[in-house]
Amino acid sequence: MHNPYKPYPVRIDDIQIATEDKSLRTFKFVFLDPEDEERFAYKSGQFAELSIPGQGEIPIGIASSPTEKGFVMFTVFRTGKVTSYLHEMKVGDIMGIRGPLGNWYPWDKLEGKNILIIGGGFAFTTLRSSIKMVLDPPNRKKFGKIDVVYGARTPGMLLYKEELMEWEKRDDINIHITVDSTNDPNWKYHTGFVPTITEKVAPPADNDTYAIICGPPIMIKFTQPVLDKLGYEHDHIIMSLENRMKCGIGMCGRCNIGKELVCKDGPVFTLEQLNKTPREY
Amino acid sequence: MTMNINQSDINKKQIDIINQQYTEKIRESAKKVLLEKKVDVVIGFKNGTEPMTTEPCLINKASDADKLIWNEHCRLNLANYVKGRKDKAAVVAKGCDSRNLVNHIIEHQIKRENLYIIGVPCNGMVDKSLNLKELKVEAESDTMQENLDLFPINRDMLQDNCKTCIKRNPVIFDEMIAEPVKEREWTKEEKLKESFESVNKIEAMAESDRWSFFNDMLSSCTRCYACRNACPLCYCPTCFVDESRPQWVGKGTDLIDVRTYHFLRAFHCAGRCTDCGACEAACPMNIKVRLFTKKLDKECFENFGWEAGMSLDERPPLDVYKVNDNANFIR
Amino acid sequence: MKIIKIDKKIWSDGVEKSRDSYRLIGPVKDREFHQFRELAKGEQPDMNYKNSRLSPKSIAFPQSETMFIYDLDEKAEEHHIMQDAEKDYSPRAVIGIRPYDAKAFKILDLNFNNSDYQDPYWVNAYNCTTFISLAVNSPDKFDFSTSCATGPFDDSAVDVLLVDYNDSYLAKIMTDKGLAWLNAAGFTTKNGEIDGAVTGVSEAGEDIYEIIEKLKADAESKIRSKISFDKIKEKSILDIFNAPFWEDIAFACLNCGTCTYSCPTCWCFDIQDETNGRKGIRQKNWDSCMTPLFTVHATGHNPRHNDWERTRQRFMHKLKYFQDKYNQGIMCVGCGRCVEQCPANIDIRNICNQMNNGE
Repeated sequence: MHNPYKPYPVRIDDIQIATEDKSLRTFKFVFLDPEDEERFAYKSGQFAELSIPGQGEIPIGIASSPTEKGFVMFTVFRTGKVTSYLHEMKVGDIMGIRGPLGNWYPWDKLEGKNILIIGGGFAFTTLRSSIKMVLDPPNRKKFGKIDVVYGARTPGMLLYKEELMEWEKRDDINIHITVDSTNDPNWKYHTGFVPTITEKVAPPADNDTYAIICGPPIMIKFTQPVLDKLGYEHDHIIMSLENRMKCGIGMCGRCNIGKELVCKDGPVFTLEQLNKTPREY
Repeated sequence: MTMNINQSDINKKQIDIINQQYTEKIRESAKKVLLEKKVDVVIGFKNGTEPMTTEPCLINKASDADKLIWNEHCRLNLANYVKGRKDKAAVVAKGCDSRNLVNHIIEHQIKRENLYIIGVPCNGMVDKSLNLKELKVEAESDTMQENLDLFPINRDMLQDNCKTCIKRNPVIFDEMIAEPVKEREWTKEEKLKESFESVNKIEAMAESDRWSFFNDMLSSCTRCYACRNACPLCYCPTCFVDESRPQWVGKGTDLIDVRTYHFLRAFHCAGRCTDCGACEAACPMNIKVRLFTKKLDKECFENFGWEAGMSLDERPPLDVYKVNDNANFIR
Repeated sequence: MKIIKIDKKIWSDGVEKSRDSYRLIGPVKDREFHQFRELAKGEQPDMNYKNSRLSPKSIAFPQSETMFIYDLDEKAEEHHIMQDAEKDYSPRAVIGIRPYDAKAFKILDLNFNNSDYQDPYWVNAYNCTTFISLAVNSPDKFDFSTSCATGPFDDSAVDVLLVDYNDSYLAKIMTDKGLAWLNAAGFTTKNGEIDGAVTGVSEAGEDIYEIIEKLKADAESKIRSKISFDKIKEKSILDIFNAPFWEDIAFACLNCGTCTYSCPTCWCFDIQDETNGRKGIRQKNWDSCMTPLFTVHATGHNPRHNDWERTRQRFMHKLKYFQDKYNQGIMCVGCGRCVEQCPANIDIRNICNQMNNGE
């Protein structure tokens, strides 16, 4: 019997400081047993438990794309006991990864559709995975027009900055970068909060356009009315939630919103689904 | 009418008369303070869903005041339900509850002016495990209630802390619902001998016996934390057992962690515990957790002549330094 | 389904004999209360017990269970890699379990063993266990099992249902697993036949079915507390979630873990690492939705910040979410432990009826 609690052993292959305040680091992990990489086959939008012996586990969205081979990547905000410890770990250290866990953005349903991706702060990780995946040449033609609104507090707090700049230059994706504020006189992108920019740049709502939102609660709270105003139907608004988790496989009981378990039935829900559940997240 | 059930057995019918009188007075007071808008809510007891059970309740309109009751099963300490409240609350308080209200005021958990204390002279609470035995009567038995009516109440039936109660009447109150009951006059020697008898027994044990006594006693603890949660003193925003950075205590069933929890909690209650017995009343495994707090009570009494919650004007011994403090424990 | 009659005189010898091929678990008085635990050699299950203080769920879902061990010493082989903790899943029998406590295992199984994931600790422990259940002739006053699609004589989740009848146990043999234990106990002949060859055991006559039905009806009629949850199913989650009664219901609740720990169907758990020097373990511990720690985010945000929200979660989970998710009744077998043990008289029977009938 497969033991879903048992992590795959991995080695830390690379650590990059991801933001100017050093509160986020991006880790690349390599599986000790190459076959585990195949067992870990995932889709954009899923998460995994990063498992540090002696410390515990934390659920983190997968930032790498299934189209990237040889490693899995996570960008981790330093906040609790386990993430603080992880931030002190070094390249070469051994730990574990358990997953992939949860559902993913509904890529099958999104085929042939326009996608508006809205992200804020360090919740951009699974969105990075998604963008990387849809921009992969065999995948790109499966989807319609792709718009991305991504905001952070300051330019230095933007994740994956180099990639953003690259994507920005492409014509098969519209990247709208914004920061809350900056004193950089050469800043050539947007300034302003995500909801405001979304209202300006979002494609018109129609049956063939879906919005994917992932960000802090405050951003979601103010973006939703904008999408309502733009006419997006609630079954066309897709959100990724976070809740405290332990098992990641729908058994330990803490992450539920109503009868849905965020770890297993989610973390991805449509707003239409969320409207029917208690907002306990 | 006052009755001293510590001295003579009275039967259930007699205690029912007292309960009836107390209940009526409590309802009357509750209605009055609500109608006069002296308070926003009244915290008291209502009947439980089974005979011999009660449930703390919150009354916010005078028309609901008739839910309130009083009897010898009002074990929980209602001071526990007041902590953190921002509104004006009336509290039905027996002696020990009032001592914990004093604690709350001294420890700035609640303001005196936000409290209206409906004082209840207390005849003692019946031990809950005694109830449990009674309640084991099979469901079909109609004779249970009849048996209960004749059920004599004597000192043996009281919960342990009530047997050695030092303050049956409220220390502070805004009104009393009956004449005070007679307090026992204790000499210091009597207290040390009788009131702390359970502690003295353990102190007299050989060290290894004591160790195995505690281990055995705690072996059934599930760490449900009912004792902590029933305790008015336990209001730390994050209890040390729940802290994860650093994690002081393991979360499993290792007896080391179980002991650490009970010992440390008792120390944290030193000089604050009023021996109200809510912890033991709450424990689903009937563990005598008061033995730990009682030991600290004894230390405070012996070393500082201190009994918690007796006065609003005095700081607890662990709060203040006095030049004549007993210092023989510093070595 | 066959019924045999086992003379009580040969009962304990049979139990002891079954030890040759089974580990035995049963109710024994431990200090004040009965608990289910592994029986030492020569130790008999107390067949006269009334109820165990904690439910027997710990047989397959212990309060604390080590899943993995590991070594943090970098010089050690396979350091920082989780190794399976040693387990014993050899056959065992739990004797004397109440029928509805056995039924609770079916409910837990929905959580721990589903088409997506299987918790191996639960599945292995459940599978290696034979349930030799004892019908409850005299339910206590907290028992409301008959309202919960089970009851004192429920044979749906057991391998053998024993019925205490005068000087005998009438044994309803529900499964082959049950028959195998009876064989091992010597209550049948070698090939599992009941032909009078075994002293003290006889195949029950026709009238025995009626006797059992009579005892069952008697027992069930003694249960007076009832709950209804039919209307809970029809109402929407949000309607009940937002009902005005929750703060009132939860006022007295201390948010301790008494109900969740004594409950045979509460399955929530925590995963914790513990280390001693350079050695460590990862364990699965019971957890409780009553504690704020259960849901607090690392940021400090807690979706169920208020005490009463946590109380609501417990009853919504058991009585509404579970119904909606599995369509198999409620997550409660009516054992009454939480009602009996709650320090503050939080009574699931009342709450259920209020959820069902309240506005």
